Amino acid sequence: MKDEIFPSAKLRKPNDVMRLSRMGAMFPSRLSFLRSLTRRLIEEGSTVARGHWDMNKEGYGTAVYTIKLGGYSYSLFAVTQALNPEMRTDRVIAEAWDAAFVLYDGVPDASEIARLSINAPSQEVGRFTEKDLCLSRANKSVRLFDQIVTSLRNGSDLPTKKIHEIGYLMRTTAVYGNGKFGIADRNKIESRPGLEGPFMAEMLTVWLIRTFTHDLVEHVGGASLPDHIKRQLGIGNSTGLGMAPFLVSHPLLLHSWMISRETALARVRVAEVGSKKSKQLIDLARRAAQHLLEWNVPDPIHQERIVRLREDWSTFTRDLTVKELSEEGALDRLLVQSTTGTEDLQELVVSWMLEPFGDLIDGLTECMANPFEPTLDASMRCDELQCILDEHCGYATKVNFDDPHSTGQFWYVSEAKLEPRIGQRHSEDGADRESPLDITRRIHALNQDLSGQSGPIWQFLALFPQHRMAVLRVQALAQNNYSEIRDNLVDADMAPIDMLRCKLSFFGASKFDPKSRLWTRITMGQGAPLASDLEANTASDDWWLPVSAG
Amino acid sequence: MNVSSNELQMTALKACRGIGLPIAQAQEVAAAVAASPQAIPDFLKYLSQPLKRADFNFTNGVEVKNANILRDFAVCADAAISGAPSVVIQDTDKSELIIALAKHRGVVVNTQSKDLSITDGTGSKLLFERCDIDANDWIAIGQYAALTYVPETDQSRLDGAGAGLSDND
Repeated sequence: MKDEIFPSAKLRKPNDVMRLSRMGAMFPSRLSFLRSLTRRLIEEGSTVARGHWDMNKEGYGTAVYTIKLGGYSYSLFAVTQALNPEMRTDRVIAEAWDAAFVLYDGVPDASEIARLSINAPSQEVGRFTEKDLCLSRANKSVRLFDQIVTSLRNGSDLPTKKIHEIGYLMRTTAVYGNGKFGIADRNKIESRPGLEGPFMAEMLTVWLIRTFTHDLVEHVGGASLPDHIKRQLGIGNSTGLGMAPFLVSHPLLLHSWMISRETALARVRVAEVGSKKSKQLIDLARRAAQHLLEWNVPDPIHQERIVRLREDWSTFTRDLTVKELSEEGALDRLLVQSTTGTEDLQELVVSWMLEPFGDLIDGLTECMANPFEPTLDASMRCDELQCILDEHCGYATKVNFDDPHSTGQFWYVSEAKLEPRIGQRHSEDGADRESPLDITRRIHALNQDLSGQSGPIWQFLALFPQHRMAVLRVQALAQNNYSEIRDNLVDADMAPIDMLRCKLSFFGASKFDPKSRLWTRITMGQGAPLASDLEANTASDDWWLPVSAG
Repeated sequence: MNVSSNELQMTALKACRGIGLPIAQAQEVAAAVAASPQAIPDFLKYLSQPLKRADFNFTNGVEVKNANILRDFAVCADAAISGAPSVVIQDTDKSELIIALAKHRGVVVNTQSKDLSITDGTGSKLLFERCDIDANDWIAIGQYAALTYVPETDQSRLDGAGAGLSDND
């Protein structure tokens, strides 16, 4: 990061930012991880080589793509198979997929390709080595894949409307990293140039999978897709509860993500805009409006939100002029103005405002990795802890946990499939094995037992060992204000989809397509540079909120 | 069996929670085991011990009777690091797991007759690396971890998991 001090406004308050409803309204931004990765690939002049392609005419076989990044070579191994349609499910519990992938450290030789060909399709049941950095799988969007194949074979018009509506040829249902099933621990790669940031290996995997899907459809169709069509084809993802606990179990990392974004906003609020960036903001506002028009989902509640946002966005941006935007304090005034609207509007405004200001904020992406865990200050006195708790944890202490509604849900891990789930506490068994995501309730309980205590925390924790986690989290909050979701994650009305959207927006996902309160489909990398763009040195970083190519 | 460090740490964490250890203590133990896999046989012995309440005496620092190392070592290390004049765990032998926990917290453990005394020390860098683990030990840790899993029902599969049953579109 540049050693530079930027003027900035005050940060938005954690009590406002760290609410589920707002987190569930977030949009991707130029700080999102896939965006950061593609910028890095462009800056480095990385290129992709397809060193192995052993596919039959139906598109079943193996492939290897290799990319150089930061002085290392990484390869995506892909294996595809014919799949009976009834085997094709979004669920993490599926046992077969159209395609399976491994991001490999280096370039796999024939024996490694043979090993991966056996293990990758088995996913969780397979066994992997420290050469394997990420593990993933995907299913085809069958209708779109088949339609494009038919068009390519017949030389007929491509289904461009559907291409943009769906936005991907394959949808991943999991991307595993950090040691799962024997793959490499994150500490093996966390200091490698280009992979230092959060989820960079996973993002590289996803971006390379997208490249593979383009090649696969062209191979089966027997003809090439135009580049502008390929750019419209990102990579889909289905995400369920498995992703949600991460935000709770990595509080300092969550803080780093959030404070980077809030710091970026604070810088932009007081930035000199100038006529060039003003014009860019107006163009981006139009693009956002187009994106909203093209974003339609079957879920009526979310579709209603999108429709409302279209109207609000239109009203909000209707009278923007270069002159007005160029005036001192214009963005700050606009941000304040947005707070009279919905959280959907406010969060879209935030992502929009950040977009033209890479020079001010891109360096913040280097602050988004955080390998640390909260550490206990055991010598702190109980009354000091009480002060911190009083200052930062009103959101927890005010909840009435005697009301069954406040404890209506519980998180657990299922015995059969080892996947996170949500249960109804007052009507289902299993709450005695609850996963510890009830941080708000734990802080509430700590507050009750802390009352009237004196002496050092270690003495208190000797007598109340169950509060150790809550003490850690409260102490962490004093220095890391954005480390906690300031809502009750076991409330009967809590919707995990809000946690998913927050995390996925940091990944760079767009076109959220919620299928219930528990899972969503998304699109990644729609509009992103292609491998051929990198090769030709024509790759562009301008793909915030993709719109149809027309 | 060769396992990643994160696999070992996460499974050890669940195993600790499986016997009812509070989450933060479970996290400390799991990290210590992952950094010192040679402590796994001892770790399994401690997992099999009941979680009885310990007796703390704070008259001169801290003296602990009936300590459960998995739960109570953390607060003893806290006391030592915080400058308590004396920290003693009564009737406890030094073990590989205790050495691992001490290394993880940067404290020193010494044997005093039948007791252990803990003093503040200098932290050393912990290495988290993949390791070979005895297959039976891995199964045993997994069995404790399984105590945190909730048996599923048809209803929980439909309502609790989220994603749809069909991915055809």
